[in-house]
Amino acid sequence: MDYKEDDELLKKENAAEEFVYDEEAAEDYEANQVFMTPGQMVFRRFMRNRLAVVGICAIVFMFLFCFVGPFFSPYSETELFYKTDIDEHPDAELIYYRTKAVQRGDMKFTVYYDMHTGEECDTVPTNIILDTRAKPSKDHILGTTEMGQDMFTRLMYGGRISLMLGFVVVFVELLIGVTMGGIAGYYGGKVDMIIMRMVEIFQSIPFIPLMLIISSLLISFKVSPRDKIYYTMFIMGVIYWAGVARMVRGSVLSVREQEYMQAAEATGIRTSRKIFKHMIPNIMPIIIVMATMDLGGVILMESTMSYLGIGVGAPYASWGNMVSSVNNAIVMRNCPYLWIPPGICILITVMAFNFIGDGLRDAFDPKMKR
Amino acid sequence: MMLYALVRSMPADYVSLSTSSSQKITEEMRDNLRKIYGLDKGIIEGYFDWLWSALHGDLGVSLTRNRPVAEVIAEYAPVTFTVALIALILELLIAIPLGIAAARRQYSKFDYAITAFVFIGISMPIFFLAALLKKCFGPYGFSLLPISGMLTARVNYPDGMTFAKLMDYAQHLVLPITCFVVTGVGGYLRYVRTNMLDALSADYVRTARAKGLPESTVVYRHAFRNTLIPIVTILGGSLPGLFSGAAVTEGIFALEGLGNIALKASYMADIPYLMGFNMFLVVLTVIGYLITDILYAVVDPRVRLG
Amino acid sequence: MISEKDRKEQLKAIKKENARRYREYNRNKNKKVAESTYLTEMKDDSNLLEIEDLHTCFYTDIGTVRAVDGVTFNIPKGKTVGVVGESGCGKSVTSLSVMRLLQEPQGQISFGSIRFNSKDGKPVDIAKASIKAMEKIRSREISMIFQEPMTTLNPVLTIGKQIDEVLELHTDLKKNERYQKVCDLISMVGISNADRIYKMYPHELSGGMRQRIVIAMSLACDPQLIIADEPTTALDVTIQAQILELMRDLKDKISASIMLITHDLGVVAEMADIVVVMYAGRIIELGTTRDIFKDPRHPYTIGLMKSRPNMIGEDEKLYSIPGNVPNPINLPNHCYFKNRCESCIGKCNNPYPGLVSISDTHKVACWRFIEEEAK
Repeated sequence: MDYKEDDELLKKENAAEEFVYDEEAAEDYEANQVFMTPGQMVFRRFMRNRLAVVGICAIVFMFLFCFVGPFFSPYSETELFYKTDIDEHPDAELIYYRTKAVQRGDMKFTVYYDMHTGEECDTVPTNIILDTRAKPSKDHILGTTEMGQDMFTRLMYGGRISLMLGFVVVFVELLIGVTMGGIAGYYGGKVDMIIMRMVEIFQSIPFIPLMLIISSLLISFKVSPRDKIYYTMFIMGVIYWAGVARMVRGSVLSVREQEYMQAAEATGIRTSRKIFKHMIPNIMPIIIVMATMDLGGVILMESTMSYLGIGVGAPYASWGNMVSSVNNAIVMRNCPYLWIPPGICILITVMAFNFIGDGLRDAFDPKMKR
Repeated sequence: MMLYALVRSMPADYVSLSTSSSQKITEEMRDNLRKIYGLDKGIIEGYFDWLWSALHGDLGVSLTRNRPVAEVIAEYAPVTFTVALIALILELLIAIPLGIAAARRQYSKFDYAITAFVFIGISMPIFFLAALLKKCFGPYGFSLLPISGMLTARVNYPDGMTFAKLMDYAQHLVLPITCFVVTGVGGYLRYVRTNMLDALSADYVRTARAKGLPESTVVYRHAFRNTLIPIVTILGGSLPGLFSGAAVTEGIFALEGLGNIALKASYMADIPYLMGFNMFLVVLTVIGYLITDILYAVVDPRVRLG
Repeated sequence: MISEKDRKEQLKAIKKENARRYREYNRNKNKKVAESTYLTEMKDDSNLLEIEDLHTCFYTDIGTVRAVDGVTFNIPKGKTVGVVGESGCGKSVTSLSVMRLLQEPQGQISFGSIRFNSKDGKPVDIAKASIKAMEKIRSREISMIFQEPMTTLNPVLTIGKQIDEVLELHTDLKKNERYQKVCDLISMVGISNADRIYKMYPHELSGGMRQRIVIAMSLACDPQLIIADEPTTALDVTIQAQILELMRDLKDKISASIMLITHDLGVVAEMADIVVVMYAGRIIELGTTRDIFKDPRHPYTIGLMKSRPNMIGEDEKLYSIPGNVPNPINLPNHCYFKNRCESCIGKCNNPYPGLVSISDTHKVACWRFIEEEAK
């Protein structure tokens, strides 16, 4: 066959690929190649997954909303709002009030003042009621709750708690789970057996009934609502570690069986080096993916608990207990702005974490190269 | 398992004490009550008492219902079980075909749509979904379906099962089952898809294609038969979940099922019932494992001989 | 080195290009292909398969891999053609292209034709054929034996069922006739107790047995061409010999052609009539077994021959070809072997050399021989 034909064909193909090699370029073609480090590959694969990128954006947005948002909010989480009770006093002028604490001498006073004009009232107005279930307006973007608090502000604070709780729980569960799972997987034998029995016990506990009991326990010990949040976090972490431990153990075991581990063993390196250089990098992806997915799971669980009234309790806000206002038929019928936004917030956050976790898993898995 | 029961019994004892003390009863009356319910003993002693009678088949008497726990469970289990079973079957009917279809067209628009749907399902808080459904289909929305209870309250039905009564049951169960299916189907779908992808890239599928088999035969006879193995393994494990996971939904839709009662029981610190319920779950877990093993042997020839 | 920004742009362009190709592929996938578009004429009727200028590409994230890049060779009726080359040189991809079993849409036949002289006398261009038409050809006319006997059989179906499936699909035999045929096939590949094996599952058989089953399966419909993709690589040496012996016998029995893909030169020497040597997706030398083994011309083939363990020679140390196979993405526009070649000449900087004939049967792609011819 004539090589010129062949050559021409090649050139045509090259033009289509937009890499045209002339004589000089061909010399250093090695340098011209597109190489990628494993990290870059993972990053690229991750970024190509559109859903995962959407997830990242949603999470960043949620974080800004919950942690930065409150600084721009004029109200605090538990602040109550009042208005003139025009049902009882039809003649009175409709005024919306806010309150603030003022120090006068040794005495602390609660001063009411007009929300719009800022005029302070000298005496406590007599004809006022809590401004509950107010429709969304300029002052209250999402209206006010059944307690007369600003919904939008509470949404931010609620998210704060949900997100923070998620991270703390996942941190605790990872701390216990990775250590226990790692020990069980690496040492095997009796240690493994004992730890795995413990894992089984923890995993067979039905979670919600247990939390119900713990919650009533905490109440009976008269733990303050704020401390209760921390206890809840801690207990959830302690219960959730079993799943992590099982996973970590499984992957440690499989990594140990791999030829490269035997090869590493054969080179006679130190145990610590073996663990940190060969073992950890290989199970890291699994841990990261699991942690991300669990973040979603924990937030979902926390909201369910708060919904049932056993998680974060009044006066603190959490997305779960905000949705629970729907149990009131009036709220369900007339005030969708009170329960739909927190529900959607939960949905978005959990979904975003799941998207990221899934994207990460696909990105880490070299088999998924396409 | 016994150890687990111990873990459970310890806080439960305390709780009952704390809740009973919140009522306005004299100290004497409370002591009296405790004696009747066997709560006067120490934690460990009480636990062993319970364990002893449980081993003899006596789960004790439910405090709130004043009936033997076993009876209560036997009465309400069918409700929970029917709802959960229908939901499970629906989930599988949806998850398997869609999962296969998504795997066959990996990274297509269809696959992305399925993935998005799956994640909405997984991430949807069940109480929020229930509230949305209630709002849409209940009396405040389209007024299509009843939103709570098992039967329409004002209608009197004869004791026996009639068609009208069955339809009424069915209508009441539509929303709860929808709730279960939407939140539960995602996990199965994802699982089917992942395993199907694995199977489709396996060598034996390439062999099947090399045989000249049409694509549908390749997928359903060769790839899917192998996907069944992992699906079966999670099916058996989901049995206890069918009962325990239903608590919240049952509560919201006011269905009289085991979960709902357990929820109420834990508010009321009804120890015998809670313990009985948990024992029931443990037994189910064991049965689940058993079913898994049997099914495993059915679908995987490698296990049959081993 | 190219800058970070350029690289990013390159990657972007690749991604866009790939997306376009996938889209195009998906659009065409379900289109009905008229029979006339893939009916063709054989250049020489004594050939069973004519591969002409076949290009098979894999569109990956970091560029297009031209796994098979302008391969041309023929498989005459009743002959065995050995395809040799090191890992990743495109020999397996060639065979998968013939079966149209590439992992689509990433891997596609981008150019060229594969003409197959089918049983019913109508030559078919496999590269253009519809999936439906391919399903008729697979196993009935061209069957394939894969590399890994451990994973090529479906673990959840019985051996009998898996062989039976082929017969069920491509023949009109009745159920009991098929059963008889399957048992015959099983005993034909040298396994006794066929009745019992029929009901067994793959995991109950050893690797050698499984490979025999795979062979039995590939012979079920008396195909004209058997593609054997490294059939003995995963087996131990004694079994290897048995399997090869078996294949040779059976080939004669049903008078089929074999396309034998391997990197084992010993196997090729023993089995093949014609040898095709591939390197980085291209044929660099082609000839009868005698041509290649007695008179290798291309420096790479010479290197291959030298790197065989020699029982007669005194040399303790095995020869190895210096350097590595070039990166398959963005191959240079000169002889791919240039950088590793010991007998490189000035002309080697010219574009890739075409195949030149040394004799009627012997062809080689090297600048040194093009020069000779010019003289």
